[in-house]
Amino acid sequence: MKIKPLLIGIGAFVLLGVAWEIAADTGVYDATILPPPSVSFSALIKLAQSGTLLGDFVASMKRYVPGFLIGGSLGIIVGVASGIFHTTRTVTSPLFHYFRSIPPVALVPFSIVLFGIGDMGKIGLVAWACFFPVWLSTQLGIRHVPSEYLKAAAVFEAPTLRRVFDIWIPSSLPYIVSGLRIAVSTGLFALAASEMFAASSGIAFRIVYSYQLFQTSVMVAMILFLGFIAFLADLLLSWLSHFFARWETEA
Amino acid sequence: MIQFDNVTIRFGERHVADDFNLTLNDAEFTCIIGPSGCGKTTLLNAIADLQVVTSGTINEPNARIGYIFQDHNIFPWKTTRQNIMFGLVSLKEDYDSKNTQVEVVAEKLGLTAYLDDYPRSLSGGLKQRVGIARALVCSPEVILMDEPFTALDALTATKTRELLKKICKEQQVTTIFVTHDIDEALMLADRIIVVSNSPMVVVMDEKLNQTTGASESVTLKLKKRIYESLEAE
Repeated sequence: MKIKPLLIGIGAFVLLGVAWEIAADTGVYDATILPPPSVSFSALIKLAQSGTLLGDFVASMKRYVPGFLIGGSLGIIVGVASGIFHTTRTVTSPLFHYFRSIPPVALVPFSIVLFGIGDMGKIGLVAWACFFPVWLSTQLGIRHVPSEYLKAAAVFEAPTLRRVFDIWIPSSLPYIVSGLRIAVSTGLFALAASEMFAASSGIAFRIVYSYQLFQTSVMVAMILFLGFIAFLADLLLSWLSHFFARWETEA
Repeated sequence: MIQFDNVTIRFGERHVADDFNLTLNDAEFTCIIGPSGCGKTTLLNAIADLQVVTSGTINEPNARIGYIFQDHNIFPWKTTRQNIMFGLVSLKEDYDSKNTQVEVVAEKLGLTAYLDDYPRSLSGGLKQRVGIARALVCSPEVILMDEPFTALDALTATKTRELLKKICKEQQVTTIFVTHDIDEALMLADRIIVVSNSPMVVVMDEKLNQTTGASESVTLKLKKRIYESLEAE
């Protein structure tokens, strides 16, 4: 990332924080409902010192990371298959388009009925939410592989598996990464929904718990922390995509 | 020898070829000239099994085929070495053996210094040379070329053309070169075939002697005849 856009990006955060702080301090709104960043930040520090923050973070990541990896991997595998094979696409597309339109939050009670209140249901829900955007983007990418590359593969009689790994997947990489980046958000959305219903730990659990105790500073701190995790995950994916697609930039 | 026996190729209502007959000889550099859209590329694709013929047969020995595309079609995510090695993708040989073959062909085409570069950093001429190297690395018995120098500047095209001609002669490869550039055909071909548009018919078939060469007046006369046959269509 270039320095200037990075500084502008950080500047936007700082500006928002300062405006928020001033608005709270000057009584533009009721600061007990929405505490200013300084109060939320000190609440976050206290949570960190007590070990609650780490505990919640680990609990959430134990659900989120496996869910994202399972959903993302399945999304890529099924997306490649449905992109290449017409029959697979014809069979899966109506089903998946139907299921992907159901909001994951509507499935939380069902996941509890199915898997109980343990982590299994939450991991499953995150995987479910991550699967669809990755599947859709991957399938789109595979369908957009330029025909001249496939023609070259056919001339040199490349075996199917080599075509998948040498042509279809690298050529669709920008689409796959887009799908994964959307999945970062949809997965977190599912995680938050599942932790709010039936959990005794986790970032979203802490948000609901602090709401019940009317600890608005903790609530805001955890909401911002959740956003920070999503931001970092997106940054990591962006870096990974640059690493795997280094042929786009490397001389 | 590649032989088209009563080959018919149709795309819906469009007849690209109807009972088309042609014999292409071994180790001969044949240039096929024809108007745009007459189906020259379809003919190459049919030889390479990329196009199914509606009826008739194309008799060709079970030869290794190399295909050099108009827009090189090299993969941007592979280095020069990996791109050339893709020409050996169907062979069950170990990496070292394939790499040796890649390095030999890269040297012939002046690509040794660029073996670990990605296409992004290569010029148009170098990219086309990578495409040529990928087609040559499997030591093909037949090379199909679809206007491979159209996208190159005049100087690069001339240099690459001469290099390719030399390699094809050395290796006694049966070459089928599709172009609409008459001068290019006169420079390269042992045989020039002019085809007509929809459906495709051979309207001129002329042998040339590239070894002894032809006088300027003979070449000019031939060029005029090719123009006339193309204009007559």
